[in-house]
Amino acid sequence: MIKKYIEDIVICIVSEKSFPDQVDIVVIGAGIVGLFIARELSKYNLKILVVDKNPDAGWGASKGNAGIIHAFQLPFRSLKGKLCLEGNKMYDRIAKELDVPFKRVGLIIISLNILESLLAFIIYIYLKLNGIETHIIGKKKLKELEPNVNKKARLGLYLPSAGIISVFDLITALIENCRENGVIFSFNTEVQKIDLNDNISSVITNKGIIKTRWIINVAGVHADTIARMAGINNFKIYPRKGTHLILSAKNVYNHLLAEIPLKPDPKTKGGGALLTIDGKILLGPNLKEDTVDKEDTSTEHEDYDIIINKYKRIIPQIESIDILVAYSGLRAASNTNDFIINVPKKGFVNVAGIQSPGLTAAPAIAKMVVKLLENHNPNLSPRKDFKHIRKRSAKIKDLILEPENMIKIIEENPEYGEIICPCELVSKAEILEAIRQGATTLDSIKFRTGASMGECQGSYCTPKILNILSSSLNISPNNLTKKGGNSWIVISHQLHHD
Amino acid sequence: MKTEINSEIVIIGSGPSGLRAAFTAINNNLTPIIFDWNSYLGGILRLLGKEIKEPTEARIFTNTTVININYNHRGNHKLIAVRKGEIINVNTKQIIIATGSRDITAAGAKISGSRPAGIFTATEALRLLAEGYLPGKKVVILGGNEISIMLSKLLFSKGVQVTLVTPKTKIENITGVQLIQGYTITHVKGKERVEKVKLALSDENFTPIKDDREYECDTLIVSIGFKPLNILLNNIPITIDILTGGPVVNERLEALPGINVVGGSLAPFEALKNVEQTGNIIFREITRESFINIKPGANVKFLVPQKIIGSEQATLFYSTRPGFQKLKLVEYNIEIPINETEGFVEINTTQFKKNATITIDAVK
Repeated sequence: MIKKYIEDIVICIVSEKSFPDQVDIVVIGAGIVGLFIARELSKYNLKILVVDKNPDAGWGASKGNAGIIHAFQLPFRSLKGKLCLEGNKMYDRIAKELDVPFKRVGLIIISLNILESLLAFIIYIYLKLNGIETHIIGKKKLKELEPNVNKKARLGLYLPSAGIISVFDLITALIENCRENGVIFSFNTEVQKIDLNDNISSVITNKGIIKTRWIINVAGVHADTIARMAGINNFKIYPRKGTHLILSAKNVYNHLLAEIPLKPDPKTKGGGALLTIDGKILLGPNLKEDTVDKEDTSTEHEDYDIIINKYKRIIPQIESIDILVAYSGLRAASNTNDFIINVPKKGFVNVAGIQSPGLTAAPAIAKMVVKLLENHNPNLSPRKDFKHIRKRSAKIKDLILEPENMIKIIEENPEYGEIICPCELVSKAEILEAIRQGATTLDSIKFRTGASMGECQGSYCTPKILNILSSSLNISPNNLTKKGGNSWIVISHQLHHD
Repeated sequence: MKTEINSEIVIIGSGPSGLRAAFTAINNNLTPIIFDWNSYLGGILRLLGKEIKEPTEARIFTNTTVININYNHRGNHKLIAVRKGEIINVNTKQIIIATGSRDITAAGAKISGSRPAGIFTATEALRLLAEGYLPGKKVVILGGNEISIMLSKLLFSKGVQVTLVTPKTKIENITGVQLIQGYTITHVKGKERVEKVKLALSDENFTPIKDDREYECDTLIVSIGFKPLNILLNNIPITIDILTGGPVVNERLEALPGINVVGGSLAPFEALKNVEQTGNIIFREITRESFINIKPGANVKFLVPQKIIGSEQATLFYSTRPGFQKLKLVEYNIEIPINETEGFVEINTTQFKKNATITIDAVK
């Protein structure tokens, strides 16, 4: 199997044509939702190709979100509301099958004054009526659970079903499991034109033409552009930017924390004092409506103060904690402000407008897409050899408290005993494995292994990773990039003054 | 391959403070074991091309990463390290943490914008240079501290076009380096690689006052300060001082009995001489019992140690806001002259009550 991956990857890198001439399904967009759809479809006897214009999977909204598995989404009767609840319930099983770190840490919505407390009771009743497990916790219990919360906090609404997942691990797991089940990937592949027909359509890309029976449009912020190529003009994507801050302190609080929305804005979504999977403080996202450029994930100088000032109401001490990272993502919201999942024409499925809670809903979206396809193709035949289980490759970090097992894998493969990233304890073996799986850029290594995502943000390991990438891929360090294109990283020879 | 070692003292990290601690241990007739993740001794000293005196009496393991410390209250600590596939198990009575610091990142400096290639921290740039790589052709460094000035000189000597942007106003000219004083950087532009940075008039703390012009470059190096790096202490019950970002220690720089923390991993020192000095005092003799707490005043950025348990002399490391000439021990009305914003002074502790709280502030 591994040999096959390598062949696929080598083909992707060296040849213009990186895929078969004809497939059953082309999924456009290798984000979380596209990957879940590909995985769900790979349970059937179908030839599936996933294309993405970026060098690796999940480089759109998937990597720009907060990794939260939401407890609910308003309005409950909307498609996003329904799929959120359904998806939330599926995550325990998914995390287990795909071996991805997932914690149902729970969300506490905190009231800081009488008005907010009154509203909290109304929200409590509303959530209960809609079947969301919710508990009211008093001041004393709240202090016990979260001693660092603002002393003015009066009560909290505790929603145990909210959780956090490692998005990068989920992306890696989904690609691996899809590949294991025969899905073909073609990266750096941009769709330029679509020729939609009843039976066999053509997708024209920069890497060649693919004939396919079905096209699934999961192109995120570009979903409207792709739909237009197929002659579908009935929706538009208006990206909404959200900025997040990661702070350097861990374990300051243990639950996801949010304020009672006293002035509820229907478009403000779920920001909070959140957590990364390893317990770091993650603040945000905020919301910007006026995003025009679909590729612009830059942050603004004022974001820092806006975000810190908002959440220091809940956790006052965040003001004095060092900021490690600031990043933005674009929510692919549509003009309907809801998910658009339909078959506008035979041979074409829209999965568009997947804004928050897209990550939570993703596995349920995938089920829905399969149902839509079944309606049009009643004789879809399930495969008997579908592999549900993906085992995550060994990581030294997972074995710190199991020294015996750690010693065993180092003895088997000494490259596990060579630590490249000392902050996140990523070994050379893990980096080589990521390269074997198709990582060619510094960002790919970072997202797939966690190297350089820790305290020092790559100050220690960047040169070592460059050396490994350069020698494994046989590319001059001058030609290595952070994320493809002109994102060169270093110059490997001394310059001379004129 | 597996190696078992019993040792009296293990030093993790061989930068300026770790090396100093090694010599201190050797002078106390101990044979230290030194572990370093790098392939060389000296840490930042080596990166800056400074001369390094090797502690020949020590047992040195480079290319070695300590993965876990198992702290034992009875004083027999276990430690696991790996070196290119070799597993090293150590039993030791004392551990010196000298893992150093990390730079404050661009986000820590509240620099916004896109996240293109070409944004580095000072030590990252130094490490790239040490591996034979240049971080760019037209480099802007945001800084003003000792490291940023040394880095500017080093980059210029390699043929790189260097601009140093600093909020400070009295920096001496550096040959070949363009200085922009009284400024900071607020924003980065560039989709794939850095293309421009936005300059703003700034106060001394890198807080922008007024937006100014855009400045073309292909690289931004952030060198505005450091934070202690203490990943190995994550599983050990120590207390973190919010001012230093490092552990609370006594006058022997012990975070717990048998665990000393020195140098950059102790506090965000800016000057190498102060980092080095911490390695000298790890065996300070305790002759009496005291429970003295040290409380920083409003003009102080940080103080180390945070408590005194019974030596007659203690070395007090301080960092103050700019513009003060003295440290004042408020409750005892003692004033100690200082010449720099960061440094160390010796204090006689026998004059204090055994369980006193002493407020130390900077005064004019």
